[in-house]
Amino acid sequence: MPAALAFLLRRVAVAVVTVFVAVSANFFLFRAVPGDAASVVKVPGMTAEQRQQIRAEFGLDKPLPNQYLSYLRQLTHGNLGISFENRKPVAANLAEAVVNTMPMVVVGTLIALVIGFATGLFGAWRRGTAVDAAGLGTALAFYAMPAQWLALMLILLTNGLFPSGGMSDVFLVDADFWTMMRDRIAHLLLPALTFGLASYGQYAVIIRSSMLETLGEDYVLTARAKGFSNWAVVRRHALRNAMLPITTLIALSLGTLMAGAILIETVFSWPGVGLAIYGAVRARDYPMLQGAFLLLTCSVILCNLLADTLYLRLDPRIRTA
Amino acid sequence: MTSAPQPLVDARDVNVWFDLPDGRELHAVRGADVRVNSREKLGIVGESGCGKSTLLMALMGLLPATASVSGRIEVMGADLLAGGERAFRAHRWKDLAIVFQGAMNALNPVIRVQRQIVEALELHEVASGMAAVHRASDLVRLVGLPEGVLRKFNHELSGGMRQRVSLAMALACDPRVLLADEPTTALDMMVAAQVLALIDRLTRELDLALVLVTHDLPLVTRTCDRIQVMYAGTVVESGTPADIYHQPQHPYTRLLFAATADVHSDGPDPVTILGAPPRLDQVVPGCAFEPRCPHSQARCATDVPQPQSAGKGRSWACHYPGEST
Repeated sequence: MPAALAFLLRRVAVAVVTVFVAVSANFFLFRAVPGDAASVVKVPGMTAEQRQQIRAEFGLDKPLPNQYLSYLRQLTHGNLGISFENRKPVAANLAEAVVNTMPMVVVGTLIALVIGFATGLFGAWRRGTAVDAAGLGTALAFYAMPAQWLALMLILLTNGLFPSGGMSDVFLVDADFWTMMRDRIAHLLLPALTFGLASYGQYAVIIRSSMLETLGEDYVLTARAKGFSNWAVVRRHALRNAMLPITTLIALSLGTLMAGAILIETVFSWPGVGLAIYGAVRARDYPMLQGAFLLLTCSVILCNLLADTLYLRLDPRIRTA
Repeated sequence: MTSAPQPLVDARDVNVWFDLPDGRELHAVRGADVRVNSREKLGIVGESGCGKSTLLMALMGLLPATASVSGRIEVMGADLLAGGERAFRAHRWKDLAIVFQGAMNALNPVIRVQRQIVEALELHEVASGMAAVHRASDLVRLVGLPEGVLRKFNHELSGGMRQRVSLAMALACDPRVLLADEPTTALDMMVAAQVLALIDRLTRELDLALVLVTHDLPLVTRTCDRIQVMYAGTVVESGTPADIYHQPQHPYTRLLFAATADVHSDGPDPVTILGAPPRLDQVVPGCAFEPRCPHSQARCATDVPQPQSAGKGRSWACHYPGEST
């Protein structure tokens, strides 16, 4: 299908350009902030010469365009620089944080999607009833709650039933697989639940309004006239059309998932990307922050591209447009 | 045969109210009767907002949840209002199929035409698998479209093609009655004429009964066997086209004829019916047409005219019938 291919190529091109712009902005943004590697290192009685030596070591004495070019060159080799704080490659630090963050935010998002779909679909179906109002009200209340406060309340309410910090029990060594698994899941539960509850509101609202709009369409009336039951009308005719705007939202929020949740990870001491960003800000670990920003922008751009591709599958009108 | 044949659709004293957001009620259909006999073509005519589409939706049980319906709606002898949604669903598409006025979006934009026809066949167990696909291609050929239409999406079809597909879809399960709710409003004149001719031909060939809802009185006098003129939710006059055309009894019917431009003759210019239909969220004490009626008299404002029957489906609801315009 040439039209579809053209559409896809255009989107890929846009994504590539966006990544390049983001990378450049990322570079110059961190050159604009005050301080560099040399000013962070605080050794009493450090001479100006030693300072200059550190600057030379990090290549900070060269002109900005040269720095920019070598930054780009290093990026193509996957080199994001060295963390000021632990002197390890930023890429390795980030990879470890991403691996930690993913299970928590993926489970959290699944929770959010399940509750969000249930609330939104039911609300649209029983529009104007007390159940609709209660569901929507609850969704908005949770969405409005500060995530860190919700996290603390959940810890308080569960009363020590589940561990409230870290990813695993550090004293659990040489345990069998299932014990390890149970321990991991117990640790995952509260942060994932907080993440789900704090973010399901946006899904509920979008799904409800998108569904309401679709249910008012002529083709839904046609489907009812054909003799389909209400549920079959929703499943066969309304849902796929209502999914179009929802897909965009889900893909966009998947992009930001990489960020983990700074506040939630901080409350639960979850060693993910969010906590890494929090730590990097406190330690003025610029390379680490720069790497994290790059990771976030790229994942948002990639997820956008994913949404466009999904759209192509879901909406035949784009294929011929 | 001593007893008269049972009508396919027999609705009596149908009233429809809509709950308005401010708590008031809109009385959209006010005691209307609809009878459709086998192979009969019934035309329901009236201005916009006179309740004709609402009446049609009530027959199918497709009104929104904010509507309440009273009266008696029988389809092929079954009392549907008493049976509720389940009873209505048993007759939808199999016995009563409908072509909507908003043909532009009557088809699902993300599902191919074939699937939309086949799903109706499968739901009502008319055909399945390859048999259903063959039936779908027979249907689109029946409405004068090439088979390739089956693989198209809604946005790839023109307005006329969409309406033909809607018609093919409506005919899928061999219904007894075809309801057509202003089937040509969204189409230009040439295409509208083609679609109407197609509906006319197919209802005859397939022995269907037709209920054609439109605001085009001359059109129904040409194509239908019986006509009901509706005003403000009430049937104000009904009869054969000959009755309605040659001896219109209700002043509204006469004005509807006078309001139509006739491109074929040098007759008088069309007349405008002054004023607008009454607001249906209010109780009308007398004849609903009284404020716009050129012959209204004192009694008309206070006394609701009851339908007077002249036998054989001929009736009118006017205190002073036959007053010439």
